Amino acid sequence: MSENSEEAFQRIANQLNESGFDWVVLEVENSIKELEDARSQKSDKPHLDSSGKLKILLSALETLTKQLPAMTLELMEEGIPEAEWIDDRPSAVEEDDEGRKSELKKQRSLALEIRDVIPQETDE
Amino acid sequence: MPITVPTDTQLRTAINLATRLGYTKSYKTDDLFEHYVFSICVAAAKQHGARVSYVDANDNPSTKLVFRASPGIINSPNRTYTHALFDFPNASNLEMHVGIKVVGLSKELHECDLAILPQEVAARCRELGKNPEAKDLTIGIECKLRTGKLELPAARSFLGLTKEIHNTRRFLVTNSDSETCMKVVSHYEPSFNSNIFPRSSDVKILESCLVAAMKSHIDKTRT
Repeated sequence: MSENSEEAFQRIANQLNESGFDWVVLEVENSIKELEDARSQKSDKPHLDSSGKLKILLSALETLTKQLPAMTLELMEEGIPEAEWIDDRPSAVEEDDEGRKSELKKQRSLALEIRDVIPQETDE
Repeated sequence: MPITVPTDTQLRTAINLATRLGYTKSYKTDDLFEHYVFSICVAAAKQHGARVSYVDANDNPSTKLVFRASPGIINSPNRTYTHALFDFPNASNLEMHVGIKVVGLSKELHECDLAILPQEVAARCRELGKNPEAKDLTIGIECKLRTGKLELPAARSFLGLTKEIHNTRRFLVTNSDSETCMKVVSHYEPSFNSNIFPRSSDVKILESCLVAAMKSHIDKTRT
């Protein structure tokens, strides 16, 4: 039996929530709400259908798996030096430097790998 | 048109890789986006023939960019923060800083995600331990990375900021889009640049706007 839009939305949102990407799901929910609010001013059917909601979630997934890795790669390709972000507020927690360095080394291969995992939408 | 939905395996693999890239922390994705927009500003300066270098507050060259993860003052006691130096062939130099505070018209301090200002002004601020004033900013950029649509309050907040730090050559830059935000911001003078991500044709538009904004500085200080 094939999965409908609502089930697909739930499956993806659950996976994101369980994996620490709850902020993504929250942004998607906010987008849906804002869109519905805007539609309510123009139409008496403001609610997005499940396929509309799914498209917004897939677009968020695309930001995560295509746009962000592409930024990482482009910075490397353009020869922009890598960046280290330091918080010098007294309350800031020191990040483990060794952990950060080893993470940076992996950035390029991970960014290359992630781009091809999920097929691109055909209408792009 | 049918929607392509990832399978469970594809989703798990992608989420795992995104986690390893550090994207679970939303502030890290914000940082990456600022870094990316920083690179677009560098490209714009190069279009004017600028020689671009990266230096710390003591003018030592940096091979790695050290940026502020939270808003800070230009004259930070941590002298290792990096800024980009745009050395123009026939005009005075500009510096680009990440996350510094500038003095608004009300004399309150406000953070600029990316602040481009004349080198002489920045140097004087460092020397005197002062914050740059809004009028000193050649270009001010607010960066907003969103996985969803950019929300209206972000546009409202940006417009409020431009009341404080002037509205000419001020940019709200986002990877996302929003017709509402576009409508609201475009009604006033600041620039709203959406869909800013690699291979988007809108990146060229942003770059052109930045080139034009730098040109006004170059024309004013031409030697």
